[in-house]
Amino acid sequence: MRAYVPAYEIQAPPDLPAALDRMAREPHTWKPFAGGTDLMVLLEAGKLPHRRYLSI
Amino acid sequence: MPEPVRKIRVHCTVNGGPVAFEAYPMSRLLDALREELKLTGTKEGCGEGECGACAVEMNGDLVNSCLVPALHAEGANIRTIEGVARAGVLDALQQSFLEHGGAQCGICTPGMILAAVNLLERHPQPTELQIREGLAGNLCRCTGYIKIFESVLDAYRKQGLPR
Repeated sequence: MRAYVPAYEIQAPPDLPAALDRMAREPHTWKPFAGGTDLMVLLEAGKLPHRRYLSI
Repeated sequence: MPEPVRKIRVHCTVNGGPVAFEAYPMSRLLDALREELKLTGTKEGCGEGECGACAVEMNGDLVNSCLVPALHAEGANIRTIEGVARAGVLDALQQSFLEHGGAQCGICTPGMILAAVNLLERHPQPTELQIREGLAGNLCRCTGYIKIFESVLDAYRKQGLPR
C-alpha cells in the first residue's frame, strides 16, 4: 500500500556543511537523502519508515 | 494518521516556460506534472522506476519522474512529451513513430520518445547498439521493440528535417 506522502518531509540545505550542521543540531531527526532512486521506491511501497530527510 | 507537513511552492521551467506549483515535498514529480500542471502526456507505468513510461528530461538528463521528489524540481529545466513538438509540428521522431508503427497502445510512447530525443542529442548518428542501449530503460509490451528501433533509425536519417 502506498505511503501517506503528506507525512514525509524533505528539505534541501544549501550545501553539505549545512546539512551536517543540521543533523548535528537535531540528532536522530533527519536522515540524508541522496537522489532517492531507492527511497522513492520504498515510499511508493509504503515501506519507508523514517519521515524526515535532508536532500544532499 | 500522521500530521501532514506543509506544502512547498516549486518554481521551475517546463517545456521552455516558467511554472510554479504547490506540492508536498516528497510527492512525485510525475504527480505534479499530471495533476498540478495538467501535463498528462507523461504516463505512470510501474511507479517504481523500472519501466520508463514516466521518463522526462530534467536539466538535460533522462529521469523517471516517479522517482523524483517534487522538491528536486525546484529551479530545474524540465521537458515533457508536450514540449517535443514545436509550434504544432511533430518532431521527426514522433513522425517516424507514426510511420513505422513505433506506437501501439501508447502507454510507453511518451517516455520512449523522450528517451530517443535524449539519445539523439547525445548521439546524433547512433549505431543500432546505441539505440538499443539508449532505450534499454523503457519497456514496451506491444511492439517487440523492432519497430521502435526502426523509427529512431529513420528519424536520425531524416535529421535534415526541422526538429
